Amino acid sequence: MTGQFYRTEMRNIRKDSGAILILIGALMIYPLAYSIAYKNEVVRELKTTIVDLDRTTTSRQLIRMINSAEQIEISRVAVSLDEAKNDFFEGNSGGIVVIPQHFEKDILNGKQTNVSVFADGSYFLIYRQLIAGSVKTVGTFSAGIEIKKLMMEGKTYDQAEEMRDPLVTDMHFWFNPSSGYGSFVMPGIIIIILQQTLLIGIGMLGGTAKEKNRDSFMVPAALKKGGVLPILFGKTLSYLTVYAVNCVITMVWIHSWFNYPDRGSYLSVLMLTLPFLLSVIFMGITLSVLFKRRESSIMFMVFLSPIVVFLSGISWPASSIPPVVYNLAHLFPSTIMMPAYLRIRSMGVGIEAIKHEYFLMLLQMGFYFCTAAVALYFSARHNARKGNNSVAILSETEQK
Amino acid sequence: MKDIKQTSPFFRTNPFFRVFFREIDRMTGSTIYLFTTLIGPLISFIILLSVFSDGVPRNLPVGIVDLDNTNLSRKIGMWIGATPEAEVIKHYPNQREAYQEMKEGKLDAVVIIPDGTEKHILKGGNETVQVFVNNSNILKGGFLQKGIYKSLATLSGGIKLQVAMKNGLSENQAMDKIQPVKLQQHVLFNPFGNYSYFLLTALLPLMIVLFTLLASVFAVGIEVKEGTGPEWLEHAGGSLIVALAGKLLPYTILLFINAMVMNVILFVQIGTPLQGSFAFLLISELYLIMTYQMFSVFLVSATANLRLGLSLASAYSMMALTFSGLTFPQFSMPLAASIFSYIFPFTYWIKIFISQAMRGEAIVRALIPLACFLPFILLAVIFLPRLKRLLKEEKYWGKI
Repeated sequence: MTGQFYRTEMRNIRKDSGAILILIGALMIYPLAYSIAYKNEVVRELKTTIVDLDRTTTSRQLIRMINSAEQIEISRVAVSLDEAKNDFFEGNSGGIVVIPQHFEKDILNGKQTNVSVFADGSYFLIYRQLIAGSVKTVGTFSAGIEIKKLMMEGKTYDQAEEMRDPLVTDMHFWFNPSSGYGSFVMPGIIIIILQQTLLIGIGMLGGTAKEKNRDSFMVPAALKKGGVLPILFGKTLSYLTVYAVNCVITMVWIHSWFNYPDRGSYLSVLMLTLPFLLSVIFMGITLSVLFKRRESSIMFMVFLSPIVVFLSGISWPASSIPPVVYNLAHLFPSTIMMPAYLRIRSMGVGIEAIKHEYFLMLLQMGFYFCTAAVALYFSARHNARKGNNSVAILSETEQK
Repeated sequence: MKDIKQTSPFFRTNPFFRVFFREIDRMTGSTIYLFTTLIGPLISFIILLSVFSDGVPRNLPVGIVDLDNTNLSRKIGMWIGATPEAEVIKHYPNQREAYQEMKEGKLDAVVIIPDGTEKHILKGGNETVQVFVNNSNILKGGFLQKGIYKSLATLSGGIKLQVAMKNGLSENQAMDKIQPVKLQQHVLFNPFGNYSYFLLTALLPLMIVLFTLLASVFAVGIEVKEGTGPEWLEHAGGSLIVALAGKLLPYTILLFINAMVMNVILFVQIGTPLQGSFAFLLISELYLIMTYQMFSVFLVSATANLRLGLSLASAYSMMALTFSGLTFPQFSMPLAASIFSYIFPFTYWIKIFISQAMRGEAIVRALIPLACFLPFILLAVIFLPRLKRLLKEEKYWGKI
């Protein structure tokens, strides 16, 4: 029985160009398009305008140092702040660094001098890179002067170095040392793409079946005791077959092609991905009985994709999402999957470090398994009652 | 509205209003219309607003391994915990236990204070504090780096200041000595470093774009699918222009209402800066909605297939955020991707919004991106003759 329903569903997918586009095509197009956009991973050589009001050897030395920072490329040395502002508003630079008048004189006289950086806060990464680059360069420059002065007071270089910074901070950036943007978002985005295409694709197949009254042949089987299970297993297996291939493409191929984090073992990835996919499939089947039309799943579910991305904690930290909203977000398998999956892929932890999430995932899978079975049963009973009329299933869901 | 239609002969005979009221009749027939024009956008606004209600990530969990256990080392822990970005959730006796908890996802950073820190520093030497930041989420990593680095650098500066003052310098002299060059950071256009301005100002209009595309492709495409084109054209007195205007206007009005709700959320609720012309922004919003409506007409004309049109519309809106360059700037994308980014009207919208809301530039600067909407409308106009054929000729109907 299961085998028969499996073959039927595979044929439905194969013969439906719309389903193929969503269940197979989208899995290539989205990850590739995004990955290509993020291919360079970090913002380097951000065009920056320097305003040098001092024009001395010392100020030029600082300019050279700033220019050699990997984040910054000086595109223009302006003589006034107004000139630099114009340059900025014309879109020629991402920010402005100002070296004040008497820069050299103040340094020689042992007076503190202020270098200013104006970074464009309307683009987050641009702002971040310019600030990071100038903090580092100006910090190094300032430290160099301090050491020189201490050495003039008669200290050795080592002593001066020690005195300059009693409490040294040694920052280590684990798991994404270069702060690559693609490596940061793409592993999670891939999970969201897998989930959303599955939900929408299954919904589209369900809606099409209803439009064409295609599932009516299943009615007698479904209404027998335990009869929905072969249908559920058959459908599930067919989606799982397609998504096994998709997972290899997105989680293995895309990851290795674009050098995305891949520190965990494939066994752990597989052990986590399987219940995730099953959870999504059962959820998809549950929702699919609600869709009356072929287009319904797109109309009602596409908008969730960007929302689910931000609910899952990939970029915006889960701890900063209001607890009520985050708890509700656990209706989506991606919310439970995300922290566990990202730890496996980027930190390389084993399955024992994600026990908590794994347990939740299995629980969720069980829950959606039950809802899917119930949904299929009611949908079949509805079909049986209404005969050949393909009508709304809404009254059934209200009874539930 | 039905009353007007029945009582006034003008509304009954004028082709534009005949189509307009025909569309409103159709819209009351299915939840899909209500969902894509009102319920969907409002639900997304509410969810997104609540997700980002914090503005910036706060109190990210940090663990401390204090091997020194002195006044100074405890002070280090307290100072780190006092920054808005970090919260010290636990002290660990050794590094291994802290790393274990990081692997389980309970910590985002570990700070290790070595044995003898206070002793070395009091003797005039220095000591290195190791900080391990989980940078697989670069947003969290960046905020933690900022908070932890700032507190340690301030402490280090304070120690130097005390030493210098002990040696007989005044506080000002000491300040000059310990930091010869200071960097003053100015964040332009986003003074609070608020991350939610940055994301919500893009995500909310993206939702409007998404629903505009879905609603308009559906409204036009369903006529082709169901073969009701001749009747639609007959209502419009045979003119496709009148037919489209009457059909799309109800959606324009409803979606523009959503845009007004969005403006209230952005400028009143979360306090996004509004430096430029609000009137210009309103006109641009209306124009943006109309551009995407016309692009939807193009999608239906080109594909002659409702479902394919909707799939493409979904992809077109989903990709718009990535390629708008707001999250990852265009100049850092590979050439092909940065060219690709110009096929999304949304990319120009972001430029208009940043120019008029955040920066308050002269309107002239926003006129160029506004003019870039025009080619998308022209594209639809070129395809109008084909749309007329699709509507009239039966061989195009019923395609799924």
